[in-house]
Parts: sequence; structure tokens; C-alpha cells
Amino acid sequence: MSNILEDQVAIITGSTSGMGEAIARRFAKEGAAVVVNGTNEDRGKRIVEEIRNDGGKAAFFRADVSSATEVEAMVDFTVEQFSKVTTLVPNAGILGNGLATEISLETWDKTIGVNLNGVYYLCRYGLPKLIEAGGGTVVINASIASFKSFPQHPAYCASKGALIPLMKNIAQDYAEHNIRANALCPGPVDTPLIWDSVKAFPNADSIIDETISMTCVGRLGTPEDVAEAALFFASDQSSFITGASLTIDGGIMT
Amino acid sequence: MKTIDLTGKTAVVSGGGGEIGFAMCEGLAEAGANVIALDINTERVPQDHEKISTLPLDLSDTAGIRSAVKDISEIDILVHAAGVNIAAPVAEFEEQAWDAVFDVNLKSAFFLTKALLPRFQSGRNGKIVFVSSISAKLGYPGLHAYTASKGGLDALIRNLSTELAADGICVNGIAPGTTKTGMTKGLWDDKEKCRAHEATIPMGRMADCSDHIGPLLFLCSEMSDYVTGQILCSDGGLTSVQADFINLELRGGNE
Repeated sequence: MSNILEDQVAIITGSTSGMGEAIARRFAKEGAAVVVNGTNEDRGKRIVEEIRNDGGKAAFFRADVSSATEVEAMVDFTVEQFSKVTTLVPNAGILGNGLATEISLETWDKTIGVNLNGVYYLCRYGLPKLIEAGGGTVVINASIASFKSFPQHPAYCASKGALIPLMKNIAQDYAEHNIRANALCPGPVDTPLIWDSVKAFPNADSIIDETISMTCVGRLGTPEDVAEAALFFASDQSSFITGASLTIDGGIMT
Repeated sequence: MKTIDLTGKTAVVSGGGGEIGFAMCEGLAEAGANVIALDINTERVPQDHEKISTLPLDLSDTAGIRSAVKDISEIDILVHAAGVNIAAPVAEFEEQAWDAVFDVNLKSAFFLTKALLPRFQSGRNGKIVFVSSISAKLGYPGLHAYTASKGGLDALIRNLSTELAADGICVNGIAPGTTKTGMTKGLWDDKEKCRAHEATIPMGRMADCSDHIGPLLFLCSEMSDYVTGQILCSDGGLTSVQADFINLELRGGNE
């Protein structure tokens, strides 16, 4: 264990599995206190216990990020537990797949609610705490879907697309408070979500293999690949970088 | 803050005697790498660092690159930090100046990569990082060859990444924002101009050379093994607001 995030207190939404979980574990390993969030209480509590057993600082807060009230409560909980907030990692995301003309309005609203509003709510209630702490970082987990389409992912792509300008706006407006905001844009990463995602593809059986062959490096990304980039943006190593997006996709977009 | 350990790695840095280039040599050396600084004038490279050695190389002579680097054995990291700038209005911009800028900024980037490619250790993750510029994305009067060469470099980064992944090499770029070096002295020496410029940068200041070390080390380490073909802006937020050259005085005025 090293300590490059020592004194940081991070909220990582959607961290009971996949990339969020990897980010929470990585940050805790670097000395940050982390709030693990999700709706699966069992998984969340288990992750927290494991982090604590490794000597890390962690707490679980159950919240649906599409609820502003619950997100505000999570921010307050974090301050109660760890006395401040320095690092926001809005990561929670859902797919809401289907053709644009066929998904229900509820599916559209819920996807936008989690993937876009959830990010905004964490910023809305978290940024004042970062200002109080004298500065901090926002690391938004967007997607290569911010830049390109996927079959039957209209709500997902639209919500992820909106995250980049939101991130840039936060970078611009809060730089004077010593707050940096950046985005991660992962490509095909081996998480539970990607296996749901492929179901919307016409070539669902072969798309993962085809995707792997479309990357330059010839493999799916791992949640840990993304966690390393999150660590870079949350640490002083990126101290002059704000308003940037980093694509972590093994070269699939090049 | 010791975050990245490059002990046992060998890094070659072109333009290692330049201000950004030497800062990168020092950053890599402090992370534990053995560094070979290439420069047309190796006397520009301070000689007091035990992990930094030098090799003379004139990047404007692309035909001579292969023989100049023939004694380099195995490497893990190549950083192309060499860059020159010649600025003039279109009407006064000579072909010779255009070629001089393109030879160092773009052509040599490719041919140095070509010459050193066989030296990358097989079976180990190789990293190539090109120092591009935010001027690949933002216009600036007079910088015709510079901006075009950096734009070409961005395209080269993407293209090399597609081919070199098969050799286990990630290819990425850093696009520094306006950095306090001799190249930008005219800007930061003039307090009023500098203040106007810094007001357009969200983080409120120009970069120091040291600001680009963190992103360099990230792109040279295993932290970025799934990142290739990317250009990371180290610019205090300048390109995200696209505000820099809205400043008319910097643009040379709108007379």
C-alpha cells in the first residue's frame, strides 16, 4: 500500500461491481477513505469489509443516484463519516437498451436519471464540500459511447454524450476553487455491464470476439485498467490537467 | 510523491536538451529509468545526472538518424520531445522555414520511431510518447507550419498506435498548453500580455515544464497499458474552453 491519495475522501457511485468497485479498491489502497455506493447492500458491505481488512478506510451508503435526495444524503453521510469530501467519482451507469421508438418512456427517463442526472446530483451536492475542503477532483466515468453510437443504446449514448460538456463546464467554473474535473472514456471493459450490452447487438454471439479483434491491443480492458486512469486524474500527477477526457479502449477508437 | 517506478527501464528522449525535453529526462530518471537524451547540441543537457546520458543527433537530417542511434541497444520508452517553431505571416513564410519545422516536428518523429523500433525489448510493454501541442487544435497567426506539423503528429500518433500494438507498444501524445520556455518568452515576459493570456486558462496560469511530468510518467508506465492512440492535454483546461486565442491581442490584433 502506498499513499498517493492520503487525506482524500472519495465518493464512488456504482461501486459494488465492475469499474466502480475497482476504483474504490484502488483508491483505498492509495490511502483514500472511500464511500462505496450502490443498491446491492450485500455486495457493498462485503467490499467495504474487505477494504477494511486490508487496512483501508471505507463505508457503504445505499443510494439510487437518480434520486437527488438520496445523493444529498450520501454526501452528508460522507462528511459525517470522514469529516470532508475531496474526490467525486460519478460512475454508476445503466444501459436502458432498445430501439429509440420501442423503449418505454420510463426506461429513457431512468437511464438519463442514473447516467446523467446522477452525475449532476453528485456534483450539485458534492462540489460545495470540495470547496470547503480547499479543492479536489471530479473524475466522471463516461464512455466511448460519448463519441460513438452502439446498436439499440440510444439512452445510454445520449446520457454518456452529455457528460463530456458537463465535465468541461465544471472544469471551467470550479477551477478557481482548486477543483479539477476530467472524464474517463472506457471502451470494451470486462464488467457485468458489457455482457448485458452485447444482447442488444444483432451479432450478440460473436460481438465480444469481434470487439477484441477491433482493439489494437487484442483484449478487453479490465476494471483495473480504468481504475489506474481514475487514480491518475484523482492524484497530483495530473495537477495541470482539467477539462480533459481520456479514452481507455485499447485503441478501438483509433 | 513517488507514484510510478520505472526502475530498470531505458528511455530515449529526443530534444532532451530543450526545456520541456530535459524536464522529461529528469522526471523519467527520478522515476528510476535510465535516460538517453538526444539533442543536436548535447552541451545543452546538464551533465550532472548519473541516470541521464547524452547522444548527439540532428533531427533535421532524417537520413542520418539511423546511424546516429546505432549504438543504442535495448529500450522500453521513446519520448519525442524535439520541436522547433518558426512564425511568420503567410506572405512571408518561406518554404525553407516550412521544411525546417516539419523535418524536426513531424518527419523525424516518424523516422526516429522507425530507427528505434527494432530496439524495443520484445515481450515487454513498450511506450512511445510524442510531445504534441494544443496548437494542433487551436489556431494562432503565424504558426502555420508549427500547428500543421503538430496536427500531423496527432494523426501519426493515432496511426502508429494501430500498427505498433502488435509489437506490444502503446503510442500516445501529450499536448502541453502554453508552457514557460524560451519559445514562449515573448508572451510571459510581457506582463500585460501574459495576464490577458492567463485569464483565458481555467486554472489561471501558464504551465511550467514540470507540469507535464505526471502525464508523461502515466503514459510511460503500466498504469496506461490499455491506453493507446490518445492525446492527453496538459493545459490547465485551455482546450476545454477553447478560449485561448479569442484574445485578439494574442492573435496579432484585428486591426
